[in-house]
Amino acid sequence: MQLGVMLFLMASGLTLVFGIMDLINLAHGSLFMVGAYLCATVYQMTGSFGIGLMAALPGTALVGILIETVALRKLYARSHLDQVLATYGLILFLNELTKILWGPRALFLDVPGVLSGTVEIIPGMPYPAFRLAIIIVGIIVAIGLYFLIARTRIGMLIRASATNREIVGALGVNVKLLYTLVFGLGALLAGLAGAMAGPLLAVEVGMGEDILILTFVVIVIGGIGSIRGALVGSILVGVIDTLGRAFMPTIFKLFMNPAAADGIGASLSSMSIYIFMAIILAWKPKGLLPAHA
Amino acid sequence: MTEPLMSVRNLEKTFGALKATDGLYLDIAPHEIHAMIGPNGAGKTTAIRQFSGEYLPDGGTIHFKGQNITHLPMHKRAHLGMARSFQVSSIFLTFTAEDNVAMAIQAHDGHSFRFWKPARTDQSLRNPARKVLEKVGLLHRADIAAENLSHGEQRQLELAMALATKPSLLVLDEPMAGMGLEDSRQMLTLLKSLKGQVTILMVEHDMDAVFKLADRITVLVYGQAIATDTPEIIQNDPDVKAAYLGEEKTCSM
Amino acid sequence: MLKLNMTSKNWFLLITFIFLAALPFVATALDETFYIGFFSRILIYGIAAVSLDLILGYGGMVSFGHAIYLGAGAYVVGILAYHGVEGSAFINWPISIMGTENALVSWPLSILVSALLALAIGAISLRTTGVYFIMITLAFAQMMYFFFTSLEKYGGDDGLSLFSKNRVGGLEMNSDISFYYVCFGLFLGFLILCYRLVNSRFGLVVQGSKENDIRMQALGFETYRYRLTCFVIAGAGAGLAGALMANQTEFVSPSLLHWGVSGEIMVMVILGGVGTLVGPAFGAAALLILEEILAHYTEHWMLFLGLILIFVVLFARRGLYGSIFERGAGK
Repeated sequence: MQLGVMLFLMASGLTLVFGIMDLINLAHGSLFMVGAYLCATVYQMTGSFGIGLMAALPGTALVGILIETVALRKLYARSHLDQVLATYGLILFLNELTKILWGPRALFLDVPGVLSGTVEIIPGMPYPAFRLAIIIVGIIVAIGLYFLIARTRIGMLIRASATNREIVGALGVNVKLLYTLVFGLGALLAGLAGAMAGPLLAVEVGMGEDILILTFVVIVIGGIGSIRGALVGSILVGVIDTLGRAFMPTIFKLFMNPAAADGIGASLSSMSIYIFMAIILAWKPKGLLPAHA
Repeated sequence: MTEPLMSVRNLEKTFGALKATDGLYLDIAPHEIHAMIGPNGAGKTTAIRQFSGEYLPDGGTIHFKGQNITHLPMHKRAHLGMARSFQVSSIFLTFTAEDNVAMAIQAHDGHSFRFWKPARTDQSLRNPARKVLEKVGLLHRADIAAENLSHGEQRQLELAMALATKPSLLVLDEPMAGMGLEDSRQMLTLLKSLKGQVTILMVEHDMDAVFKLADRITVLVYGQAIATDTPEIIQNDPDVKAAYLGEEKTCSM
Repeated sequence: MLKLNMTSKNWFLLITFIFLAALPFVATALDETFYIGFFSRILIYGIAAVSLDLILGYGGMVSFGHAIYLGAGAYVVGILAYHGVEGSAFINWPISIMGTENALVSWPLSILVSALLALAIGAISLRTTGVYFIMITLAFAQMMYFFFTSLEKYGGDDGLSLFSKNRVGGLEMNSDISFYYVCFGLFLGFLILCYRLVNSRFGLVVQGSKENDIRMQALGFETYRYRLTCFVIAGAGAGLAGALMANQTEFVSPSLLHWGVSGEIMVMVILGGVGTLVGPAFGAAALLILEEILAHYTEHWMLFLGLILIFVVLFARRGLYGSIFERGAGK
């Protein structure tokens, strides 16, 4: 389920940026990578995951804002194709830059000591404490985002921009600043996801793209432009992924010998998310909870 | 009245909290020019979109030539004989005017799964296209890219494309939108010349044109038809005056 | 029947044609036979790029999963060759499909398999538009990548080697030169087919649908069917390129299906000129040549490629060929 949380963080950022600025940003995965790298680097310098995390969040947000002001601003008015191509170029650039600065080998990031044990929520079933912490963080962020979007003035501006961009500008709101802030928020969420993923995945170049595609699946299933959709989508994807990995090999073992079953089972479980996506799409081409009908 | 060409019963369409079409009732008689007027936000374009199939209604029925077309996809309605023009010119900007009309002709010339023969030199498409351009007065601009035509010419092209499909019912959404005086007069003459040949349902704000062209007028307010009758009777209907004509300071009566 | 209007564009194309036709002899004479294989690769990617331009430039469908069909075509050749060498069957039920190294059997099969795959994926994806479509094609690309990685029997992650190039019927195709001319011939054939396609009635419907889909439907076209057909044709073209690719490298691996390859092909299209049909072929040449040159100077050439791409998108949108010779099918 921690995959679900990470996807939720990524998907919220991406869907916000898309819903408000109509920008499809392939380099969102790169921000995930930046968060992981920053956290890992600071961790190696200080020995503390916590400090690493606290450095990664604003760090990634800053990198995001930098990218937005320098490169992405010009893309708001362009077609989606142009945005896809330009942000793809950005991925190439950022991946290579990371390789230059940190070298091609993966970085090592450890689970923080205080969270390395297990917790028994259900007696007799120990659950890794770190993974539990991630889920808790996810819940906090979800609640926080809800309050931000539904209850604050900025949230109101965000919702208004999602429905009608031009009018918000005409009302005198500093749209440029709003866009930059929203993008920064998205970057922050991506950085958080990346930093938390550090101890679980390998911190290496290209880690962003794999999760980016899964994020796309979440958004497609949940519906573009809505945080609720991102939430529903990421929960569903997280569940399917867990179930798939747990049960696919077992199901296939019913039909064929164990070795072959393991092989096919493993591959099908990684495909199960995409198959699920295809089924949902065949039924509802705009996703389950799109922001605009 | 003879069998109506199109009949709409109890049409309903809701967007969130807004009921854009609220029990719409409408009959279009064959060969008439029927105008639909109403204040802004009355739901005229929403209604047009449901007639042509761009939106699917939430309730009610639409019958065309005796057939229930309520949930029929757009392209199928075109083949039944319904042609539509759009309020904001919906033409192919990078194609020439003649290309645009030829495309409309092509749509009704069998299937287009023909992969080899160049279409732009196919005289069975180009000749009829030029004839239609001539009819609307655009033949001299046939080879100009549509994006380089003037606004009035684009509206003419819009109409030409609809005419090229040889429709039984022409659904026009504000054909004179944004046109100057001279262009409007030309369009008016053109539409008059079509009277009797093809049934026309048009939404228009230009009251002058409406009263000169229409055989019957339907007044739409808050998604409902509050009156349907000849222009003279509509002009003097107190409800209509209150709801709509009372706001108009430019109608000539 | 051919009206030869010698504009500067036509001169340029003629010179290019002569250059490509004579290349193997010139290269052999200069003792630089490396270029024969290199330009074979360019021609193969040229087919892939042109096929993408069909749906991207003319149909407005931004597919970020075009490499699927490239890879599928390659794998058909690879798997059949593997069984052919062994003398075994690929499957025995419901019908027996024996392995083969005969191009006349496996290449049409590559095209067919890729076309069917495009039909299946396109049927679902094309019900969506815009950003959804881009995301979905990317997702399917990832899915197919995982699928081929799981094929343990055919090398999985490590890939599958071919014993040799396919033979064409009874003729061996082992020399670089004969393979080059096969690629050249197929490239020309495909280009001509596409050229007729985009100017046919079918092609105009696809172009019209890109520009204004609602209008096309209002006129009476069932645009979904036409776009799907275009998508399948493009997939078939990529399948052909894949079959050739398998022969060129004598190796197939899942990395051919990685979405990065889809990105590469897209870059070729944009570098050459979207919607110009022959531009993307030049784009393929430009990218591959650029990679060769940059790789000589630095191992971090991707850095510059990324920057160049961003620059082209922001400032040189119509690509090289597009800016110089054509207005192209536009944005």
